[in-house]
Amino acid sequence: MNKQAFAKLKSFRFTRKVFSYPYVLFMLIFIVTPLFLILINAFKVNGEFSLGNFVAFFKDSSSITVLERSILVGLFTTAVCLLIGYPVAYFLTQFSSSKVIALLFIIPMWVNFLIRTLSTKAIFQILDMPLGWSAVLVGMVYNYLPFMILPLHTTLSNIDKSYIEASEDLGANSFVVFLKTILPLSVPGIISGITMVFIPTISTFAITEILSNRRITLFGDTINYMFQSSSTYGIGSVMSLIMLVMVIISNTIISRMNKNNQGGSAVW
Amino acid sequence: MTNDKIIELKKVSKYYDGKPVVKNLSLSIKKGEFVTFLGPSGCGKTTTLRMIAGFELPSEGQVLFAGEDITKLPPHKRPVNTVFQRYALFPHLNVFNNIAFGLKLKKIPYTKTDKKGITQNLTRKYTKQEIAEKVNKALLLVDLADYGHRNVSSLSGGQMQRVAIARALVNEPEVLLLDEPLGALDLKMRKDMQLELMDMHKRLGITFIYVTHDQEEALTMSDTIIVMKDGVVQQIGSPKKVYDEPANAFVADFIGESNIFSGIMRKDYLVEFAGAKLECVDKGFKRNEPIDVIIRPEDIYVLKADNERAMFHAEVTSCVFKGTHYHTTVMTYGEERNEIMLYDNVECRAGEKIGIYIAPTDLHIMHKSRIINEIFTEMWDCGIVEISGGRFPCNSDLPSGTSVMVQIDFDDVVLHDDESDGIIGAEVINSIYKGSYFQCVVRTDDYYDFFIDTEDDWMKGDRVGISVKPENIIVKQIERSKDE
Repeated sequence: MNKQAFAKLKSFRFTRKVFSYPYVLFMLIFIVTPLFLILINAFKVNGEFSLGNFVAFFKDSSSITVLERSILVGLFTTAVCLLIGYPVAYFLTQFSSSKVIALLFIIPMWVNFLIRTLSTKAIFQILDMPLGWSAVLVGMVYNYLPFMILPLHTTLSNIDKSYIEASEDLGANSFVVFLKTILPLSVPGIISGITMVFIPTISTFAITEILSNRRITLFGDTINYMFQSSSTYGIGSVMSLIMLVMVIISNTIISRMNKNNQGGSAVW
Repeated sequence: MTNDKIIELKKVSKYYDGKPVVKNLSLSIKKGEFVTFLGPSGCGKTTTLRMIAGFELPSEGQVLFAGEDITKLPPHKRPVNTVFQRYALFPHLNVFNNIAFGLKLKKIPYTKTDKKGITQNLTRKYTKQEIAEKVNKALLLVDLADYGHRNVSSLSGGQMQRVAIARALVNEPEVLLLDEPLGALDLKMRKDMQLELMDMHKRLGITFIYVTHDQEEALTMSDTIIVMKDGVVQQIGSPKKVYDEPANAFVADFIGESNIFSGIMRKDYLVEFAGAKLECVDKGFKRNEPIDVIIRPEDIYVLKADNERAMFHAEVTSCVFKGTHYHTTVMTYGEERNEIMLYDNVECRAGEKIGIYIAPTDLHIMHKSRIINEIFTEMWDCGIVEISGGRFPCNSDLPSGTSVMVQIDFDDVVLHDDESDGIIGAEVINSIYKGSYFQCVVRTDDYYDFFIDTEDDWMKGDRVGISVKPENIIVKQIERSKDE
């Protein structure tokens, strides 16, 4: 018996797999277990298995409205971030000092987003502008813009200059070069930018609360609110599950788009 | 058709951050020619091509296309197309769409006559059918007929190369520019593509401008070779001319194998080198002028040791069979021992004593580009002269600030492995074996080239230190006249 154990110990090798054990353990404790708890909570009413929480959620029209509103805000924020972020990322690649400028966009990310949002509120108050929808959207775009710019900047600056030269050589002026070469080649960056912005925005919380003086609530805020009292844990868990499903759906769509792109045809 | 020069460069120079890459280049390329820019990496050949393509603006000078100034014309308006070194095929498009890229953008002029009999000059785009027709023809030309739908990333190197060529040729350019297009292919593929390119050139009749560092490729394919070094044209000529009559020691060394010796031209038709006085066919040199003698290894013949026609007597150091001939290395006897490399179909044994014969017409004699290092500078202080930013002690008591000319013999310059052991640092640019020693060119950080005769072969691109013994620095005061 002892000999066997010894042999087993001897045959133990530091393969690459071994290094993943701590991470697997971490995942089990902090990701898989909470997910299970959410699942259990969602199907539990007064200590018994029931679908009551789901019924309660879908019966309440206001919570559906919040969900719709959250998706719309997410789409809007993503679109605005792309519209602002793409030109910024593109022009960053044109300057030799682009690293310094890119850093200017990254530095705010080092500050906690609550502090950033509170200072946005302060700026709105100083300028005597009303808090509400416009403030919320500005705050969202401001918070998530770096997540759009960074992947775009990486993709754009990794585009081989010879593609651009080849395009010019074949008769494309600078506008056509952009439209037919740079834009399609940057699609992977656009997609990861969208992923990085859209998914967090639909689940965001606190930003709306702070920048609208609690007048506007989004899905993330509602989940946060539900988990503040133990009686609504169940509904909160249901909402979290719905959130999760939405993230999975949008992720699948996005990765599909990415795969198509690799197949040779441009998405845009 | 009076002007058959399709491309002309007039006094073109290009600087990157003040550093010259192409210096005062003037040349013309005839319509329908296959011209090759040949030179080691960093000689400015690619930059020259890029200026013709329009990717680089010359710092000075003009680029003419069929007599028209196109110096400032952007690339998309030039009637030239490029095959890039790494192909640069668009990864987001398939083979067909890569080739159709240029056609889809092209506007073709046509005239329309309306009912009133007024003719208008209009432009239109190619129709889908026309594009498909042209692309398929181009695919056929490069032997890739069924590859249109294929993804670019699924192609092999040779196939990508063909697509790149088709993509350029489908636009019917008047000049096709090729920037080391075969560099990434293996040897066998390269040989095949060389023949195919030559064939295409013949069939299409357009001008090909080719850039390569491979001398064999250049000799095989070109009508005209332009040999470049350090941004300066060394020689322009047919492959045969460049090979048989190299303009200088650099060209001789770069194109084919050669024996290069330092010698002295005693008088017309008599040259002395490697301890022997030989008859030659050159004249017009100064009496006792130091010169370089270049002999191709295949022009040297092995004789029996006791043959009286032998010009040198030598001992064989090595003899290797190379299929069609033997590569033999020999060492001459006498006061001066010189190594000679020769290709002959006589087999020798190492250690064997042989005689060597060279025909007078095969001795290529050329002026030395420089016989002494000359630097114009100033005295730093009494007994110290400044050279390329370093302070060299010397035996001169001229006061500080005096303008001087410094002369240093080739064999008085000392090179150090460790840059910090020398007074100044420099980079080895070139090293040519001259029978019994190496002639190195090292470039200081302020772009002065020192010529150095040394026993050792220094690696090109290495950093070295330079020092000179004080007694070997010859300092001459020069009169300041004009600039004051």
